[in-house]
Amino acid sequence: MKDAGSANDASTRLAAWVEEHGPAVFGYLLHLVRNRHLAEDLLQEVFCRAWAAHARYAEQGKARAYLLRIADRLVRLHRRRPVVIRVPLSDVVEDALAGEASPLERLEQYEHRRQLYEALALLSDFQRRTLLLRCYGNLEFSEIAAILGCPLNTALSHAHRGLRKLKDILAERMV
Amino acid sequence: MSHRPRHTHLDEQAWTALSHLLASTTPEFDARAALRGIEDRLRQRRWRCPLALTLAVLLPCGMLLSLHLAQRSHVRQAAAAVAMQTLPPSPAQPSAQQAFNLGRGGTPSSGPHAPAARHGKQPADPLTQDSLPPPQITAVLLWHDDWDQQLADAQEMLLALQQSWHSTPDAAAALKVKLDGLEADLAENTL
Repeated sequence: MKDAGSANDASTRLAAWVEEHGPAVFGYLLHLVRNRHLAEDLLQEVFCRAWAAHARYAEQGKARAYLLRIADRLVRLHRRRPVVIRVPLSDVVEDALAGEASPLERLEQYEHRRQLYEALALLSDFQRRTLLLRCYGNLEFSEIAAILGCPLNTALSHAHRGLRKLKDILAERMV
Repeated sequence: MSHRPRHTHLDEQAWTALSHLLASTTPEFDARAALRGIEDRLRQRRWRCPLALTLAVLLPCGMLLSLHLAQRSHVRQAAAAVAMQTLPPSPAQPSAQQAFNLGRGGTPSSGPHAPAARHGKQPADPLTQDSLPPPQITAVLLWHDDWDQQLADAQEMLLALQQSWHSTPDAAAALKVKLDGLEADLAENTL
């Protein structure tokens, strides 16, 4: 009975964990890999790995930073694989066509999403990861620097230049 | 001169705008589906762990156990192959190589008149047990979507292995005990 009870506790904790941090990790992965199915697959792997070792990180800091660090590492490992899956942009943004919005609103959503994806794709890898970690993870720059494996000033520089470049691109395209 | 970071106050409005834009363009996250997938993965890994440990115990027993991705029909073929390999070789019948050598007059190194044979020792034949590696077992686990079917196939294969080893008790008595444990693991994880 004790085992069943502790298993239920663990399952409840895992559910709360996914509920709280899942959207941030999913958003980060999705914008990096640009493939919803792959992002979902990587997300499951992130939580599995983190869950298997959660006792080790528990006392060390934010769970979200820990999860995003694993996510970042998994994406980089995935990119090293020889097979590169090219996904049409329309597949990435197709979800914008769902929902209860009017056709015009859906079209606008679709267009905004497409422009954002394209603009993010024009940033350097470090700039893109820095911006996404900041926005999705709401992490401190020191935490972002630790994930990226670079000095704090470098992370700040990536963020500043990336944000400026993104603003310029979006301003130019959305005129 | 202090080495203060130059960009300590980044454009907060830009950050807020970008965060909103990202949030509005990210598809809805289905936590339930994600949780189901995660729990499935964790469950599968719990199953794999005892199996991997059991297989690791089998290796020192002289068996090479390799897992292959295969179709279901290959399971029976693998079991049949194992049964063939674990049968003791017949010493009375000359091998094909010996027959070939005898047929063309034999050679000092491999025929019945070879030096080793003259000293009362049977020469090593390249095709008989002297040159064969230890019995090799190829265990084929299916790796398709139907996990239950995969377990059932694995159990079927293990049963076939056990039955084949009953004919060679000397070689497999200890292994059978371990296989019983492996099968128990499989049965437990099938529930």
